Amino acid sequence: MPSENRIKILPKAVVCEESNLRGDITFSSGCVVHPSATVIADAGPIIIGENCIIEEYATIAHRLEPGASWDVNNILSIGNHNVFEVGCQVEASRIGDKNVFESKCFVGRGVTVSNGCAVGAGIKIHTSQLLPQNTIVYGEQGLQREAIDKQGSQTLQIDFLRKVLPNYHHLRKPNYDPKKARSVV
Amino acid sequence: MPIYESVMQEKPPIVLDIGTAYTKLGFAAEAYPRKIMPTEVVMTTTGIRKRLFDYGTPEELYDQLVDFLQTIFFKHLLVSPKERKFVLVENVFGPTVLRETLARVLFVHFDVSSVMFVPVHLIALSTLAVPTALVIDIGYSETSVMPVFSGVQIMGAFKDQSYGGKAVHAEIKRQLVETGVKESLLTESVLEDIKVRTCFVTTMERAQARAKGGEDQPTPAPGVDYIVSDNDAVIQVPGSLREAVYEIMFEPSNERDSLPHLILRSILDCTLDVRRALVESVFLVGGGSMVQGLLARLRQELHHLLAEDPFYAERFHGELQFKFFNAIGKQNFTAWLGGALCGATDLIQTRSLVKETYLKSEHVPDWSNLCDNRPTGS
Amino acid sequence: MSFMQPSPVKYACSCGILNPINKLFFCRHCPKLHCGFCVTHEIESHFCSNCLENIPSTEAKHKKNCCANCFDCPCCQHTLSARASTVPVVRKSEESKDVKEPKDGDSTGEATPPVPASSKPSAVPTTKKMYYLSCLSCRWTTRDVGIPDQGVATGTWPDNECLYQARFNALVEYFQAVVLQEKQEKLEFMRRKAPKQHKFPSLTDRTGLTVSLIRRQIGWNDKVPKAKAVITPAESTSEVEGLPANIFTEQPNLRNVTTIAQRHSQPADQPTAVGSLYPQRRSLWIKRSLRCRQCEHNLIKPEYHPTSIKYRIQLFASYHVPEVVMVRCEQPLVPGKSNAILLKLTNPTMYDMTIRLLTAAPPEDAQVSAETTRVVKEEPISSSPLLKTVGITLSRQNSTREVKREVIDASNAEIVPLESEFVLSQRDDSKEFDEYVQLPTEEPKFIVWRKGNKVLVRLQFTPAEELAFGTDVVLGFFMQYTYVNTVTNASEKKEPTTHALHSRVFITAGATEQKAT
Repeated sequence: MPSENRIKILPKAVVCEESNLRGDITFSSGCVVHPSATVIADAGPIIIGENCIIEEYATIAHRLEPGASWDVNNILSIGNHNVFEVGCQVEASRIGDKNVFESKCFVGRGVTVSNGCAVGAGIKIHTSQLLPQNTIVYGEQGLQREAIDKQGSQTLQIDFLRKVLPNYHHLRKPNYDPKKARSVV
Repeated sequence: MPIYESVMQEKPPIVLDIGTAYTKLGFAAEAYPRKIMPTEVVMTTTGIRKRLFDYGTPEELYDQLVDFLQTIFFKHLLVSPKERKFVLVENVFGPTVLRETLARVLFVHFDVSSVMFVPVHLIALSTLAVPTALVIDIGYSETSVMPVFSGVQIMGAFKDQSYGGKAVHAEIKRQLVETGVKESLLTESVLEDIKVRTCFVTTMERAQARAKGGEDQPTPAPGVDYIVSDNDAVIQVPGSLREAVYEIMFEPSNERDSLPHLILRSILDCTLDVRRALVESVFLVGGGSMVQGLLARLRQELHHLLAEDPFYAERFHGELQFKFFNAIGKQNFTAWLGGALCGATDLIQTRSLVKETYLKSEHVPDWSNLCDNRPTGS
Repeated sequence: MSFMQPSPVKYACSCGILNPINKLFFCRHCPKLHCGFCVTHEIESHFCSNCLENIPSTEAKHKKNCCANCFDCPCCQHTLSARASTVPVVRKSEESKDVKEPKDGDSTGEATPPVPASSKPSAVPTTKKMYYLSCLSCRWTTRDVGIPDQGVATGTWPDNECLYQARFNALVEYFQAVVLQEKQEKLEFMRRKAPKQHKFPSLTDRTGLTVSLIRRQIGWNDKVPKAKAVITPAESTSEVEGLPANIFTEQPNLRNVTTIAQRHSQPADQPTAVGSLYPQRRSLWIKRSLRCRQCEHNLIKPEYHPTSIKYRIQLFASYHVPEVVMVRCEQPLVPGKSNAILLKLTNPTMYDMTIRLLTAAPPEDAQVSAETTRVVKEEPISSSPLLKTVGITLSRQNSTREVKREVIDASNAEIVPLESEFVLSQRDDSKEFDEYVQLPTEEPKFIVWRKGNKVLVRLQFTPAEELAFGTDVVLGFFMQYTYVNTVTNASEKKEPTTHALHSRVFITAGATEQKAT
């Protein structure tokens, strides 16, 4: 368990003061973190890619396996353009680009999420599996389907949030990271 | 939809095909049923969903039928059943209690104007406009074979066996439990989904190679991970299961009751003059026949049996080629389609059982009942 | 009283089935209880559950009971909503439309401000909204199937056609012709075999001239040349489709194969690939009205407009019949041990009601029985014998021949009937907020408390001796109550009459606690 928080915020990332951050976390440029979002890096550092949106009460956790300890090489890397909607709980071991985790979904530790996936609202995925590209998990029974059309981009929303959030919330100041760590997949 | 509608049929008759697993419902003179829904009823007293044909006493069946038909009329078809004509597609060898109870529900409770019962095998042929064929109906609870020649069913040559969708589900369950899957995961809907989406009928060569055992087996088809998200588990469906499940229909046995044997024995039970015509017109209907690879395998097996099996080789003579019909529309509602065609014609006026006639005797005329078939009867 | 769990108090309906009071209706004319089983349901109006639009029944029939504007997602059967994307339309000579990347993500689906056109400097850039349908729960869009975006949000979405419709129509015509032909041949046959015996001699009998003779002489044969019904019958082929070659090598992608429910939602083609699923029109819903079978009066009639949940006629049982609610049993249920149950009775009517609880059926009220027999005897009047043979009668007959079932008397406890009857005062909403005033009248001993139109009654009973452990104890009794009939007949102006009606009530008191020693 790290004793201090080491949070790197790259320029143009908007991270609210009221969010709960614990551990070694890197926010790449363009990220938007709403207040009351929680990011916990227990088992290792988390690197969040560009233009990700983490909404209120979303929890991104890199949990410790029983018996393990914090390992600096155990990086949870989250790709670019992901959206974590309100109330979702994501503990996946790897997340690709352009995914959407809808409200109140739960993604367990064994799941590997590739690119372009959408996990529907309220769906809980516990079993270890690899979600192939462009998979949509929907419905009461968590059926899966391959999306033929790409997900819409969120640039409009991100621009809006970046303009509006600073008006209403205190932000954490970006501290330049000279190494400019990019998200590593 | 036809552009003109005949004046005398302002209200088209309702066509119902109530199968053991699924019910097809719709109106006459329409090219496809409005809905295909599972034959299940939600008990109004308890709220559980159960199959319509699971009943204890005929009174229970009556109540369940009332509930079931009530949902059909007021939720799916959106018509009032009062004073309407009906076409019911039914199995001639089905239990009489079903027929009688259904008629009683319709006439006494729902007050319909007339009901026409049509036999499945005969009416399915009308979609082809062909008078002669060997009709095989692969359903949920059973498979039945009925030859029809010149528009007449040859009842003496009727054959049926209890392998159908239900038996395939049981086989999938058995094989999966053997590989270690928990039985509680394998509900009916999961089994059905596995059957529909992954399984197929393999070729005869591969099946025989597998049955022989030994090292020379062809590599099985790739397996599939089936995700059951209710309990959040993943079932590994091995490739061998995908191929082998439908073998229950082709298992060689001494009783000669696998599917190709049923067909051949049924043809043999007919008189000599119709056999050739039947061999050249085989027609598969029913939901179970929509599986991939069934027709090709059946053809292979039939030719193989004709050549190899001495029992058949000495009875069938000449160059015989088995020929199959392709259904219009999908096979699981071909019988319904026949009923729709029948309901569009004038037969509905002349041949149906009218309410007054039924109420006099409270009895549906049945082919097996001597009272209805006496030559001197009224 | 919770309505999520089944109520322990059940009334016996006039058809013999036991139902809780919320499922019963009360017919005022033949003053009896009816349930959903013994009334006729009729369809009142059609409407779409999504856009809440009322659709007249002829139009509904024409459109196959589907809404014109709303669609269901073929993937998860939820409703599809139209979303807009802006497309800049470049006028002038080229007339090219650039389809830009859709800018959705807004929940309102509104268009974004106009985006400047790409390269043509001389054209006036305008934007047009192109719509596509998308499902909010499974993110399926019409673009997945290849349906082009439409310029208007509703009305122009294409329906996929049935591939074999032409063949089917040909078959229908053929069979209609065949059946008609057979019928005519049969008529001809009958005519030839049994010529009609006329009562009066006709002119042609003497001369031997008949119309058909003359026609044959002239050279016309047969009234109308019958068109021979022809159709090409289907051909059987020995070429059957085999398995695709890659089935043994390729791993099936389960995410692209449709499930059975998805296939059944499109009965005509039942596609196996997700890429061929087409949006289906949403099915309509109906509003029902209920009618008593014996006296043909309406019990329930809803409002015509889909958004209104009120009723024009609402004859629910809980507005006319006193409601019995079980409060609690005083002691744990032991077989053989005497016990008492507290019941709360409520009077929902505007008149005072006298109630007795009995163990045996009270004698039928003479007035009530006379009225019911009068209603039932409505024989078909003035229907001529000719019409009767055809089967048409001018006035309505009894529309049911349902056999009345015997009420299953499942009670297994003995009840001590109450000593006297008691009065429940009328329902008066204004008294609800008044202070509780204890009236100094003599109350029978079994009344625990009384407030307004409610009363709490203590009923003594003894479960039967031989009950096993854990069986439900069922109490059955007859409740006789006075009912003031406010129905005025058109013929006579009557004062509201008072009847004494009775209902059989069964209460499931709970399971027995201890084993009987």
